[in-house]
Amino acid sequence: MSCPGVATAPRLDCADEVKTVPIAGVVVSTYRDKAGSLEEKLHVFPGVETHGGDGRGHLIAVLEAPDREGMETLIRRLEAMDEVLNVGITFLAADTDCTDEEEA
Amino acid sequence: MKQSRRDFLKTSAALSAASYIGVQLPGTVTDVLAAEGEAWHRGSCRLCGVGCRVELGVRSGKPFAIRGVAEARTNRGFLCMKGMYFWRCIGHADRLTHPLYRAKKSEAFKRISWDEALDIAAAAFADAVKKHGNDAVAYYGSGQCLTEETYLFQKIMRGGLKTNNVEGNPRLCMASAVGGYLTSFGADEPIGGYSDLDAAHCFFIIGSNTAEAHPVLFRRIMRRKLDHPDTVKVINADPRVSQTSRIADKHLQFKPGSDLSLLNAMARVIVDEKLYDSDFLSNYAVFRQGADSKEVSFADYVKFLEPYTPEAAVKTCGGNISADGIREAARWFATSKGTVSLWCMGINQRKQGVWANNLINNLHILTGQLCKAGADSLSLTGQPNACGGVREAGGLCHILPGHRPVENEKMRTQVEEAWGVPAGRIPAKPGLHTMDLFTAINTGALKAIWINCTSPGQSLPNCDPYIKGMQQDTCFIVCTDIFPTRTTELANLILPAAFHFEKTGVYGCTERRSQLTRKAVNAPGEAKPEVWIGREWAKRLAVKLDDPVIAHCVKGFDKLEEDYALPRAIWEEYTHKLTRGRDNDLRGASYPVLERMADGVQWPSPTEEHALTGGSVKKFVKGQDPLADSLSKDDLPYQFYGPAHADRKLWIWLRPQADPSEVPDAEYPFYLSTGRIIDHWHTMSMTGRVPELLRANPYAHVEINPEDAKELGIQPGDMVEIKSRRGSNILPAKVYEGPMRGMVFAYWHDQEKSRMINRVTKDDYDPGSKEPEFKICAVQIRRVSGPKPIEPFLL
Repeated sequence: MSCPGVATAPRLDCADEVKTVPIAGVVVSTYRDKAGSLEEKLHVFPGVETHGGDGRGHLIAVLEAPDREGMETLIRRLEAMDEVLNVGITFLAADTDCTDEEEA
Repeated sequence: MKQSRRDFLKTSAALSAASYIGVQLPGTVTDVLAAEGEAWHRGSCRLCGVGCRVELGVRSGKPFAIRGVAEARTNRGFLCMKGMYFWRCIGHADRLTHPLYRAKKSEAFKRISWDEALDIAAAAFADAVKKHGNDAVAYYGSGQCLTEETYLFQKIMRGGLKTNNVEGNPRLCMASAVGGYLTSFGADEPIGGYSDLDAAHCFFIIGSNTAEAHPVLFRRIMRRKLDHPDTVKVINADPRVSQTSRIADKHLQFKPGSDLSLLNAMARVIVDEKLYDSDFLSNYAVFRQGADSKEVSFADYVKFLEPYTPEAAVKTCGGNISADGIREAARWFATSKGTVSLWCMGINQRKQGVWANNLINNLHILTGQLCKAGADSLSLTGQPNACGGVREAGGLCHILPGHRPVENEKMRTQVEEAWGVPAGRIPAKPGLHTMDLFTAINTGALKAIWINCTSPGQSLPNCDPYIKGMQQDTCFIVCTDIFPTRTTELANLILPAAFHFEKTGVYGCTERRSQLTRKAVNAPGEAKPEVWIGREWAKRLAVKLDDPVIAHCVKGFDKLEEDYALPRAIWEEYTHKLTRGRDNDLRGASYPVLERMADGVQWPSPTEEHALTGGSVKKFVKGQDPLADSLSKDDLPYQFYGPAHADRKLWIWLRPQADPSEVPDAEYPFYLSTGRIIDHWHTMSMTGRVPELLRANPYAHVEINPEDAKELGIQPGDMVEIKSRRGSNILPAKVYEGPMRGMVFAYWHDQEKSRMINRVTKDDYDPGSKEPEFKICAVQIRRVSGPKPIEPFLL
């Protein structure tokens, strides 16, 4: 017996069906001696913007993707890199209004 | 200067990340966000027991972003994937938004008003009490309810309805840890906390896949290891090689159920090699044995350990460990400058769960790895408020608020006086524990139950008979929840509840830390906070049972608005009246103090002055814990004043190896164990509704060792039947060297009936803690077919 209005079909859509542009702030952790080479790789990684690190193997990066699925894929691709030990997310915005024309 | 919104958010993202690792970038997060006029609301993560602090970004009444709180000692700003996405449940299209009712479970639900719903709920409970007595009704709550909710409902049940039938799902996950702490240290909950992770030199992780179940803490452990690769050791003991093992210096892969042997063997090495701390033992410890807790000598303990040679343990543990490996692990544990043990359901969800907890605690007492920086015996918690709400505020059938045993008359009197209810109102006999409660539904003895924010229809072990029981019309079932679940489909009455950040209240996490989350957005439709629901229900119950004492239980809360004043009044009553003079003294942790603190307060914290320092980082340590000072009996630096040990000693237990409830045999030759996966939480009613999380792991699978798979002709992706004496599942196979040979592992989040692994697990339980042995049972494994397309499923 199901509740009324409750579908039993698989559901993959979330509540906010309005298109959102996700932007994430992350700390990418690696071995201290691999931070330099990893930062170089991240620098040319599509959707990744690097902002330096702390010299202990933590790199600051901003991730941008066209949609939520793209963000998910991007994070998992980073996590799969050999040098990457962890992608720690510290900020995630899924804003509905991110056009370049809008002024802050 | 003009800045696009995208640039603005990217700058915010960079600044957030930089702040967590102490790197300065131009500008500050506050400056940038303040310029936007967006509100950021501080609170805790809704999911696991780590208690990560977050800030929810809200614009025009809707959440749009989340970030970690950099200054929070729980998470230092970091969040896991689940934590980053839980807020998507706010405003989700599937939310329950109106009360729904059906008189019989064969009928369809119909929408009703709150007025009707509360009347129906009150009538059902009142009728059950009138016809069948007070113990014919029950409340079954959750480690996800706010402390105010748990406290209020148990007060109504005990003080109002005169029954101790108050239970919660922490019985399924934490009860053995409670039993372990009480019997080893004389007091529930850990002595130290997360600060020890940053000072530890040895981590002993047993029965916990920390990397997936508690990723933010794992990140902290990993950082400690990577910063000190040569001097920090990580030992991972588990039948399954998991993501946690990847940072381990040593993996001790023991056969399911042989953990007691392994732990006793480590103790024997410590004793044989005289690695114990003689001073600590003579000052603080005694040795005990048996059901009567008989005190025995150190010599008796040495004799007890004789059979547990490392060589003998290697055999008992299945042969994947070497004797020298056990010796080395014991040496690392004993001789490090600070050792932290971490464990979770692999230890707790066992028929010998309390004993296994005792044996971990034994190692810490033996070696003095307690009460100092970097040393603790730290049980990880699975839910955000299992500790704060259920363990501390009276959410189990045998405990009253403030860690008071129900059976103790003096304790009952204290509570009755605090509530202003007549003496003898609270029954002396503990209520039904979880498995007995649902058995009572099966037999028809229980006539009405309120299930709050949990889904026993999926989470109980061997769940089929209990589902059948709940399908009967003999028990009226009320469910308060935010989404449809496998349990709401068994209900008579579904009441829509407000979600996290849609209401105000306190969560208490793993490390004795209480943290406030204030309402930031409105709940959808007619969803209401549970404290409002409970209060209004109690008022109607009082009328229907013509019992003014029930009304008195909520009188002090009447007419208070439910978003802040009501939970605050409940919190004040609980902390000021019920924690005063108890080990979890929270009187200093008032709402105003909790609002000022980035990361809440660790108890004991009897004054606001102490609470404003963050509270007690270490329990029992003079100079850190005010109760250790005020209750000091001698000149020693540690004062073990826990309520369960009148001798104020730590107890080392002589606990022998004992088999689990069910072991493999010729008919059912494999061990089955179950657990979490990183992307999902519990029964996935929340995480399954976040596409990013669902897509990553849309359905459960079974992990099989490659050698076993080869023998059984199973290829990756093949459909495999897992069958026990109770039920079966058909799951796709994942073949890899995770589980040891002779063992399979399945995830328990999937709601689809043929993939609900608790149809297979066993419902036998620990005789002390009453916690079921989810982690071990015997199964058959059979290839059914090649790979088949599988759809994710959500109710």
